[in-house]
Amino acid sequence: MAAPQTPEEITRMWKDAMAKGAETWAKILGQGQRPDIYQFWRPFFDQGMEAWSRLLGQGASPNVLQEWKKFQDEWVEAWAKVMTQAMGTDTFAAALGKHLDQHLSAVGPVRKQMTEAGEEYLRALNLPSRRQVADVAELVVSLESRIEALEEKIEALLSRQRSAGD
Amino acid sequence: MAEVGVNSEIERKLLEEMERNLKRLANTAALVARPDDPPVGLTPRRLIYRRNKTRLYHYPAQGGSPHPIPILFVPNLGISRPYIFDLSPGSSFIEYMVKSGYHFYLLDWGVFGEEDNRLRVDDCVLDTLPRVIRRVLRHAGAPGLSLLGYCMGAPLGACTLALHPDVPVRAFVNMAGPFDFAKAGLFACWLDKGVFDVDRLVDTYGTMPAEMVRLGFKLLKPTMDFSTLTNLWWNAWNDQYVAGFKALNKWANDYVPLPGEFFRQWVKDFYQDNKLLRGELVLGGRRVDLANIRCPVLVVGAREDNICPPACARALLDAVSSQDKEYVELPGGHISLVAGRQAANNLWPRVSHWLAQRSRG
Repeated sequence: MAAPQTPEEITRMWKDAMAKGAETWAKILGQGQRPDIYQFWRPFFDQGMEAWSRLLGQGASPNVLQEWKKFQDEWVEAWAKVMTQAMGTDTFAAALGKHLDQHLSAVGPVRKQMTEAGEEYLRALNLPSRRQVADVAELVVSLESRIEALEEKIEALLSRQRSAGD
Repeated sequence: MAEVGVNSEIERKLLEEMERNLKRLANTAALVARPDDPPVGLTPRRLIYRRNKTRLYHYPAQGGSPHPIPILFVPNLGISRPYIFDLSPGSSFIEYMVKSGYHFYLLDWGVFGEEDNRLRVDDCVLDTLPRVIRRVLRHAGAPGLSLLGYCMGAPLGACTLALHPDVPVRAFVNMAGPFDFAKAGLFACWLDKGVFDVDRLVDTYGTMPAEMVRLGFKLLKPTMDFSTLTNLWWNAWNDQYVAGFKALNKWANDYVPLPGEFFRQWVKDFYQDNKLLRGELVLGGRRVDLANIRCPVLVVGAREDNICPPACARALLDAVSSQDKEYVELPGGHISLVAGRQAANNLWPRVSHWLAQRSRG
């Protein structure tokens, strides 16, 4: 994807990221329908605005920006803790497992078909498949390992001979 | 008059902020429009052993009188790359240790491919690690070595020591390495055998794909990307911060896959059945008994670690037979324990000092 060049593009990317985040969360939590991103993130913003108003209510300070950053960090950290608690439940773990199962059910047959079709195509062209190349690589690794074991044995024998000679 | 003073102070701050905003815009625009590949891993090193994807690097000790006992550092296998330990000059654990007079050996497991999917924990513990240990001892000409394990590297290292009591190990350091998987936080919950079908995943993909590893770690702290980006914007006026961000960001998005059979065994034996701590783990037909470890042991836990919570790492201490054992809990998370400014002030000097007392010839 091309890097954003204008503020409008950056804003659009940000909105897309927010929408994707809301959709991912909705999927994980087992809510089938596409969420309204503004409604979804609303609790985050409400909490933020409330704390921001409180901060402003304390009067202007020269360090207002530092305080804002501090508040923002605490706010995000508080949300991280809430999320961690929610994600540590059996319900969430079960939803995640279910989501993975659904994903594998969809991906598994497609991958199998594609691999078979790919292998068929390569065989027709008289070319090795990815699996066959991996098998050869596995053989090379095993040979490398055997040579190394032999080297070590020879070194041990030589060292024993040297010490016997001394 | 006082009010005028406050207002002028606010004005000054606002002007300063405007200047910073211009710098922020320039730096972030450069980051987005001209992303470059920041140099990482700059501490001088030499490759002394290679086998398949695995590499063993030697970082020679710097300074006058080096410690006679070298360090073998075993990081995690898969998931991420080990250059986080040598990110950039001044932000490098390895650089710190070599400047403290240690000969440092880094085991880089490498990026595994499809041909490695049959690799198991047994191969790492019974074959790769003993060979690497022999290479380090021979290369250093030392009577012994200290073994440092980070994350998954710690249980792999501990299994090796437990099954090879003849290894002349002078000290073992567990840096945020999981041992009691019942206390392994969110991952223990998500990988529970009642909800996570590891067989189906490995049978489908043959491997644990890097993209899935990335998703798992991102989900662990969903606010992380938001915090990273707001912190970047906040500090983007500072060129030094931006340079550090680039290097760290490169690492943070550089996920690598895990070999399929290794991942299956890792999830089943370690996460789901907690066999290592229960003394039920069998590798190559031999039972792994952590009580066979008798050398000095240091366990370092990170207070805010959500991958290996402190109790999960600390459990090693009760399992070993060592007389000289110590537990230290430091601020930070799984990564900030070992990398970054906090690590430079806490972990690095702590480990270096503890090892120095146990690294005499």
